[in-house]
Amino acid sequence: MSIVDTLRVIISLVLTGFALFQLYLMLMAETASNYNSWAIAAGTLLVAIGFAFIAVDGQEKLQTKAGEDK
Amino acid sequence: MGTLQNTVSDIYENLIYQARSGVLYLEKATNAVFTQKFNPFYYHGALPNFFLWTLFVTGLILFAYYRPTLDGAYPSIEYMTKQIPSGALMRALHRYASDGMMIFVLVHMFRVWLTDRYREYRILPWITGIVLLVAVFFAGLTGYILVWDAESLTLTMVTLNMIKAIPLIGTSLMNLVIGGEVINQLTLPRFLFLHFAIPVSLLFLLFLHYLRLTRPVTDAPFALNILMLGGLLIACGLAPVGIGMAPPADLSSVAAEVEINWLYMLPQALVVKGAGMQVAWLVTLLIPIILLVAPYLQKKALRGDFAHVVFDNCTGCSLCYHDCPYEAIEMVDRDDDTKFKRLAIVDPGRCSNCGLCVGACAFKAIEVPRKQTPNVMEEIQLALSQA
Repeated sequence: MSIVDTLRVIISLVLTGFALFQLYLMLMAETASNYNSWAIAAGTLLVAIGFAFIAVDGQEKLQTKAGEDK
Repeated sequence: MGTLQNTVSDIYENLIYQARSGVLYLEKATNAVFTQKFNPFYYHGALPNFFLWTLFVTGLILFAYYRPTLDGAYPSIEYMTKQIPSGALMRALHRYASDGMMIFVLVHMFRVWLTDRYREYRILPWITGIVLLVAVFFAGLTGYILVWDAESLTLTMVTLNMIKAIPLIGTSLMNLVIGGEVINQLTLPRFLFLHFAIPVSLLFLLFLHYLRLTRPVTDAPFALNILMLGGLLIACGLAPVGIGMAPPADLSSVAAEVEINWLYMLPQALVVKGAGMQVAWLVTLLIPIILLVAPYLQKKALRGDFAHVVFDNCTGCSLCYHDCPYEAIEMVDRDDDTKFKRLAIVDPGRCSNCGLCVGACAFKAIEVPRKQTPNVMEEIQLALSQA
């Protein structure tokens, strides 16, 4: 896995952590009825999931011969 | 005259070339973040579809609560925003999905334009694309009017004045749009009808848009759709769409200030900024006219040639006719001195010079000028001898 691929995984993990932390803060501060906070947390989580897909599935491989990735 | 045309074409092609280089550089830079497989620039035509479906779903939910009357519209939106669980979120999603759709439609248009994929056999997708762009514009505009607050009223009045300024048919057209000579109880139902009818007609236009494309990419990858939905939700949370920012529409006093959305209100914004009706109409008409004329400004095609039928070899078997994905080949009756009754004819306007017909023909009766069969055979022999 290249440095760029690793960075993508790290970014998705950071985003997931941020989204979960935001959910935790929201529940602790009893602002769970505020749709804005839910939207931001859920949106961040979805972006993290989307980016995780890209990090896992989007690794750039140039196939030169059968079974050989460059 | 010919020299002037050549000069204009040279300038135009140079500008297009420079812009294309910039776009391709931007795409390459984006690959570093999204990878080639998920680069949004490679799904510029599919991503508007994601926003369109988001608009359909959220729009149906909003429709369940909307009352299209002068007295009921604003309270019904206030009710759905403040009282209905997730009502405010649905409104915000609807609003930002429409912005997202317009942005990606524009990206799609410029990408297709700058990479020269908009003329010759692609002229139908280009023309229908311009109609789709105008339709999306009107759908968004009517959406802003339906809120029926003070800003909506200003927007409505400016739009109606623009329609009224059209020579000969202006007044009649305005009366048709609002259902009378002045705004009345028929006005909002008509705008609501337009807001529904235009997106539904988009589906038919999309069919025409895809009709002549081979394997059109209509869906973006799941990961990109998830990213877009996440982005929409974040936008909804950061900049919620609320009610109460502007008071309800009051027909006795039209508010002067209106929050401009430049994606959907460019002509109206020009009028509000004091540019005048003529300038607003000029801009409104000039943009689609430039887009329609653009394919004919380039003096030569990048792909140039088209397939040619070798009449002496054609047996009229119609294999090429069935294989051509662009419907560029027509079978016609022949009356020359051969024993064959049918003949294949190529429509240059539809031919993409792809060479599929050459592969389909068993009689060497169709050729693509740049890839003549003997030349291809020579290339193959050469490659085999060097292998």
